[in-house]
Amino acid sequence: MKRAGAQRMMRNAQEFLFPSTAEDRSIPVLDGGLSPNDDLDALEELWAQPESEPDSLLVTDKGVVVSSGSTLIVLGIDGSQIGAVLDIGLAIGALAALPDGGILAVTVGGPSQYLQWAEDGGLTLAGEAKLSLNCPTDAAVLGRTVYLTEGSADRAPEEWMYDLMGKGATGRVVAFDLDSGNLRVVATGLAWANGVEVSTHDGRLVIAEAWRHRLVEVDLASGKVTPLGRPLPGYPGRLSRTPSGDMLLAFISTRAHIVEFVLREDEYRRRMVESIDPDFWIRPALRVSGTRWEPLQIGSMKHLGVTKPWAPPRAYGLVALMGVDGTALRSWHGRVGSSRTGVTAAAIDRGHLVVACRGGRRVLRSLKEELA
Amino acid sequence: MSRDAFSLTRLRWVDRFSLQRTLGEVLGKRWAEAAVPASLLVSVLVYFAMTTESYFAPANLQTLSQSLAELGLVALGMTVVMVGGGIDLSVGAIVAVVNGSALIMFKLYELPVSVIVVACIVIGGLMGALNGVMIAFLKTRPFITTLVTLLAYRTIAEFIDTSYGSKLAVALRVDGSWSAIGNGFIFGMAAALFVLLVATALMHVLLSRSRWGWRVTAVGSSRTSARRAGMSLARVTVSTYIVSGALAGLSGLFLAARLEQFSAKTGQGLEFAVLTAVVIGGVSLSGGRGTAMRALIGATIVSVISQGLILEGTSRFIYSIVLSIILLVFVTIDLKWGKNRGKAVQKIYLAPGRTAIRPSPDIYEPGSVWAVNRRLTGAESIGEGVLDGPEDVVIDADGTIYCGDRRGWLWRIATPTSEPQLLARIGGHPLGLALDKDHNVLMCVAGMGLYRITPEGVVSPVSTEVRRTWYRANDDSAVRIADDLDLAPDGTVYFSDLSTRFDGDEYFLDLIEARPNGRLLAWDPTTNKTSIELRNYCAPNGVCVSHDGQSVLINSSNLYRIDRYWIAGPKKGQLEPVAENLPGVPDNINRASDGTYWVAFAGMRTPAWDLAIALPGFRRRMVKELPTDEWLVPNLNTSCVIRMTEDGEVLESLWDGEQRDHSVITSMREHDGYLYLGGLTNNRLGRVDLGDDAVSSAHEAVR
Repeated sequence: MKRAGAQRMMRNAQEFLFPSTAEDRSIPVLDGGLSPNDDLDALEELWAQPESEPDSLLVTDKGVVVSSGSTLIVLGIDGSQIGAVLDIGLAIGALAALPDGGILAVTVGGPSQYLQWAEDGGLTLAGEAKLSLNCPTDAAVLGRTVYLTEGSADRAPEEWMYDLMGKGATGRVVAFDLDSGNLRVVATGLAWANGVEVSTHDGRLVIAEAWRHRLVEVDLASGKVTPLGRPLPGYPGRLSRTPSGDMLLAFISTRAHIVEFVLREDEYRRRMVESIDPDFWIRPALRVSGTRWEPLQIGSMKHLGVTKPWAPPRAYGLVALMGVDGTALRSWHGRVGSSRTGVTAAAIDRGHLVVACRGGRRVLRSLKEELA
Repeated sequence: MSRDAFSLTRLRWVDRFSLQRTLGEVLGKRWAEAAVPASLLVSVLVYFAMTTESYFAPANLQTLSQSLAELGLVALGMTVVMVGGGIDLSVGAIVAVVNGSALIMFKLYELPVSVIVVACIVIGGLMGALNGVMIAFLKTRPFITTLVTLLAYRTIAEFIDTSYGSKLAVALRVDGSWSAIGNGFIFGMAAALFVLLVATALMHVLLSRSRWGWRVTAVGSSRTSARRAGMSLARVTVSTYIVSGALAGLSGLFLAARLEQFSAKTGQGLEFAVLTAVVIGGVSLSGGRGTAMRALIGATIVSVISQGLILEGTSRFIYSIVLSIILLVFVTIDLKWGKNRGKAVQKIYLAPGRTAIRPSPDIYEPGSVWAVNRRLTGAESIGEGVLDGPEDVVIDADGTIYCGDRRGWLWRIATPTSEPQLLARIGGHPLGLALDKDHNVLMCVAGMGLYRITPEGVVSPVSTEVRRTWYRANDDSAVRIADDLDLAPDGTVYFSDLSTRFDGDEYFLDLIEARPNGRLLAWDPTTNKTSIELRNYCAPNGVCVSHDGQSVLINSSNLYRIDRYWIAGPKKGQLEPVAENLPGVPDNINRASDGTYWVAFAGMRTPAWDLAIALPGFRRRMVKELPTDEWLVPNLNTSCVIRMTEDGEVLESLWDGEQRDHSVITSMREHDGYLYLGGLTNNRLGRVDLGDDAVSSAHEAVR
């Protein structure tokens, strides 16, 4: 306790004497391509179910594959369910479309599964893969190799808030060879690697590093990590390539000053993690539950029955179209007060935007062709 | 005698004190501006006490006090002129002329001493008036004008010197009262010093308490504003120069009586010493800022240095150099201090404290009385979209509804379905309401106090201040956040003042500070006096007189408890707990028809908030580093109403499971089988049918 105070004083003195050496506490503002709008709220609801957790998406020509917990559902263009729901028994962390037309469902903490298309248009199991990861978050395929991100070495995907509050940086990128079944570590030391896509630069991957609020490029040969673009105002999640060569980036939530503050307050954070249920922590969340023990900030108080959209976000819906250089080109927002928050995946289906809005427990699709 | 409720925080005695809070309050005082000059005075005194042997010898002290008096009187006059936005460089010459005139009157014309005293003051005043008239009416610049008169008056002094100098040197007259002025003692101090002290006290009162003083300050602060406020700039300006001249005349008289000699050099350079004195004292060169006390401090510093250097046998050149260096250093420091003091106060005023609260009861425990239900869901809306923030609601015998409004208004609503009518515009932030026996509405207005509104809409203050607590740095005489009230059977109005440290709309700051800053007040209609019943109560909010009229129930929004304060009977004056460690933030409390009480929870405690309360440093840094919108508060988006027995047992809780229409419930009032809901930030009132549970009552609110 005493030591923390002394350290804080040293930091303040340092900031006073050498302002340029101080830690950057700013949060990038939502502007440029990330300027707020209500476009996520304007999307059509493709599928929704109470208590569902639509997490990752895979767009195929036979329909949109959505994972929710340990189940997989195939949705048609009109949102109708095609075939039967497939439950593979283990939570699914990532989905990858294989070159042979099959699908690899990467499970959490168990053997991953190859899937095939069934007679009824749904999916069916096609054998176990020699792949077992603790914390798979996203996958990208290049040739006969599947590149996978792992958020953390010691946490499951559902425990991401513990990793955030523990300032974890044990995420990594692995390469899974489909032919040999070999697993190779490409890069380590990432602060919750949360999304992966193949870079347009040869021999590189683009990785979303959530707790450092940035996209990075990872060199496949050397594993060298270089930042891509400017710091992001949110916690980036899954990435997917668009036909035009850009990337769609889903954000778990946007950053809030109070969370950054709690990350600086070691004593408070320690006691919070020790004694309080994670649902009631000060942290980014996929959705605002509205429960009585949820923390509240002054700006989030309802006035005249309304929560202002620019209130400090606990949950926020954000999908951004990112250029190859890591700049945001345009974005779809579900602002504070909206129920469409906590986007975990987004993809393009024949020019239409498809979004897995896990916080809002629904899958969304644009009416118009947004990105032809 | 008021009761101290500090012990309810369950803290140690030392926790009453906080260095940060005291510092914040003291620095916020206007007299804290003098801290720098006062410390300089002390260090100068210490320096000479240590380096000069005979400094505090009686002879030296007498000389010191005499020269201090002569300098100090002129400095007082200079302060008045400078506070009024001007400057008077001619004071030294006035002293010289008056000095000469006094000696001529005394020695050559042998006039009575009393006449000479009056004449000296009048001559000085006239010479000052000349300055004033030129500056006020001919609109000449004060600096140039007084520089010119300095030369002119100096010429008069030269004339006196050449015409009367030799005669004055040889003339001799002995007069008892004359030497008493020069070297006499009053109350053991030099007569001149006594006069200076009296003059300083008088000037202090005049400058800070009189209409004239306020006008001088106003003119010095902003001439335009003063003129627009209807003040005569010319008259005020002339008066300051007359005062300055008269005081310089008085100083000249003392000089004449003390030394009984005259030379053309008398008073030369005095204007520089005086300017140094007042600037060191912290009188602003740009006008509008300065006090008599500060002039006295400045004059003392200069005199002490001057006398010390004389005693050490230093040359006058060194004196000038020392003075100018001190002036330079000091003006720089004082400028910084004056500029940044406010900022420093702003940074440290909010001093989060600790309260030893226990963990909240588990409201999620199955089957508990706290389970969420839908009993308030779908409440009938009253005045939706018209009302803005009706914190409290009250219903009279005829069923007419009254409620406040964030904009400082009072609404009257004839029936639940009718359009609200604006009854009165009060101002402030209307909070708690009550009806008296004459059908007046009594209203607690945050930022203003307790107000009465007649049925015709006439607004009058009832209680806006109490006696100040002498040992508090902060002035706690104003009722800053009057929150809720109720009437006792004898007509006494008991009402809560949420904070003595924060103003009207800053209740969040009090919530975050979490110190026992509030109090319970009582207004007695027979004496029209307001007394403090409970002190150091932590965020007193709802107030309700018990069913038997013997006690008052008070809600503490920061300690999550309800207490009973006995106002009659054998336990009169005692405080005892009713309900402790509630899971929510109790706001208003009212009597129910069946002998129980309704309590509104404006919000719920959250584990994150409770942890923040346990860590004052966390909150201190939070308010410093984060914008207001980002501050953590209890969950004020989830409200409920509870029903509680006389003993504090919670019988039931009523929730709006959807938390949609009444996101915050700060008050409720039962009337005729219905429960009316008010909310600090809602856009409507609500009305819920209590069904068969309710006892039909005529009007619960009126006593």
